[in-house]
Amino acid sequence: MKVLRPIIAVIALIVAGGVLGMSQGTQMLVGVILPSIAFLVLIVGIIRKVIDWSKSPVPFKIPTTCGQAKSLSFIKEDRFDCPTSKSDVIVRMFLEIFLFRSLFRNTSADVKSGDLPKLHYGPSLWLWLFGILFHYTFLTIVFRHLRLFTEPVLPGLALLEYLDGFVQIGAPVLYQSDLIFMGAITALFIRRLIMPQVRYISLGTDYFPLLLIFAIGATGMLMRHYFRVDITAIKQLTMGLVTLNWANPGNIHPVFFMHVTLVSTLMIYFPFSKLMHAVGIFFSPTRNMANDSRAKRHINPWNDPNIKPHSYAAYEDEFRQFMVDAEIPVDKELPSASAAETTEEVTA
Amino acid sequence: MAIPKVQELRKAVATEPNLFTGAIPRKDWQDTFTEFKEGNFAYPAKPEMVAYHKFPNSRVWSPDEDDWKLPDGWEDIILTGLKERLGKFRSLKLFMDICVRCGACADKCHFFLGTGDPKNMPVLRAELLRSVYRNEYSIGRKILGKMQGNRPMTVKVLKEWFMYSYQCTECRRCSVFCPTVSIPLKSP
Amino acid sequence: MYDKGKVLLGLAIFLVLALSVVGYNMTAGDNKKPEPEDAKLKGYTACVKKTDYMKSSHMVLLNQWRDEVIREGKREMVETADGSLMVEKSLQNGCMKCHTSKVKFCDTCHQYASVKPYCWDCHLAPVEPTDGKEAH
Repeated sequence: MKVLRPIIAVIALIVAGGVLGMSQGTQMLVGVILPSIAFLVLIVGIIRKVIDWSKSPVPFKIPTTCGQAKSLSFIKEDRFDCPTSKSDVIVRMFLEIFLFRSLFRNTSADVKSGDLPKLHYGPSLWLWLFGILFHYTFLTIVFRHLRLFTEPVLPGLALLEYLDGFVQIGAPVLYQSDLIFMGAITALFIRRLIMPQVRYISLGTDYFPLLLIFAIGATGMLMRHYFRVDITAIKQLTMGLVTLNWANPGNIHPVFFMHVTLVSTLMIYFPFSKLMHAVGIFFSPTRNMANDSRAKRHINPWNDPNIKPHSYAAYEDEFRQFMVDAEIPVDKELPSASAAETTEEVTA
Repeated sequence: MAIPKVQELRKAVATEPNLFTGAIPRKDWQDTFTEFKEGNFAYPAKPEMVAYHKFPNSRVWSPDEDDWKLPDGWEDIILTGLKERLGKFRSLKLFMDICVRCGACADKCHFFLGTGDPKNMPVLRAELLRSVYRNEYSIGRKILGKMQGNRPMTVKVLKEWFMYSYQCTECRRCSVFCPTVSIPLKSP
Repeated sequence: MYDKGKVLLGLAIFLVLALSVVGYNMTAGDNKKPEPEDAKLKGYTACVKKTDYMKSSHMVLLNQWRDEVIREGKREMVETADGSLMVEKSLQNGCMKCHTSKVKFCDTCHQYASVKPYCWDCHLAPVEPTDGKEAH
């Protein structure tokens, strides 16, 4: 079972965070030093990876063309599926990043049995739905956490919190984003387990981030709704982190340190894993290039100048005998015997 | 080998156990072997054609033989070649790193739909190469090797590459549906 | 084709965003945790629960009181933690007998932690004892 190792890893992290979070001395380690290092690793790791990527050139124009390219005036152009201008590319990237457009296009193929089995395609939006819900609620949750990292609290956060807790269930108020987030991540995890194709391709490194993020959400919700940890003490600690004025006010429940350990792990894991798709999407040459290779010349920096163009005339010169033998029409006939003699005379 | 009729093929895809119709193979893809038999592989080029194109190691060989007459140190040749290409193509580097294995491309590949062979899912076809890439370059390979599904470069892997790379027409349909980066699953 | 300019621009935006939180707090000035004033008891020797509990879970208690009083009609008094006196199950007639200033008591921590309880959607905040400018 490929899912076993990730489960053990996440449980180990939770236990480690909890144990280290129990005594004042080690709280400093997991509550202050670990997240500070993790944040540095995240930033430096992302920058290093980006620089590593950009050291390789994009030698060819390879946008994925999913529609009709710009052509004659009476042929309808598919601007965002086959963009030819920079502005269309920007729109395409925007739709991709903010609305997950390619995934929205998702279809599923299955076999309808009948007299003769028939291949059937239909739209399949579940992956898109859970994916987009997960990403947007995650973003909302990250923004909401800024209240712990800004003083005075950033304007606008109050409105976000108000909207997020709009249904006013319980006290402290339950955030809808938390519920949707946990639901979506569970769905994405279960999907990996029950869909035969996805299960077959899933590696331990696919289950791990899902479980890790689930554990982060779970400890976060436990903190708010079950243990009801001392939020002002936590804010003292987190403000210490961002003002480089490290402090441990004490009296913080161990579950907070579990949460911080898991989040730090995610930050450290991020730059070295598939989670880098968040940054990589900006770099994808199949989406961020315009399909204008006929209008603008794209230079390949490592083009080998020793490879000379091979014209059709030269090609025919090389293979004329074979072509004539295979009865392929040729531009220039084979030199006849007499013609061959005259050329010899000329050269002589 | 008799050429199957369309109707037989349609029945076969629907009734024979394959991943497309939901039967999970008993072994992980890392543990399955590629079988070459008459009719399921592309013939290699004639030695004189290979030599004409100034490609190295021209020889008479066939994929269904055990011995592929590989040159000495072929692993190094492949790994250096991979390194060189990573330096030449940003796309390759990027796509080796950031596939999330969501499976959106799986049932878009007509080779997968036709054969039901799991290694014909674009994501897995690329994973054959990615597992070797991670074994060489991934930072956590020493600790996370098993969890990442990494593999060293072996003849078995090479045979898989041969089999499944030639079962790709580079039509890039998978790329149309790819949510993260539109990874076309055949390296240049 | 390296697109060096675009990559550097992207990296710069990323760095600015990532470090903006630190910058914001550097310029925002004082970010010490404020201590609630007006926490002293007036005429009582103890609150209805221990301080630690009140600190973390007063909202649960208030919610429970609201449900009991308004939905179930259970308006009986509750004992203080040391059993010395009885307190009315009420925000205005109970809690705020001691903690008379919403601004000085409630709002100090709530503002720091950006918590906006909806108590005052229904309740009228009492007139502030010294300067009543925040009362509404």
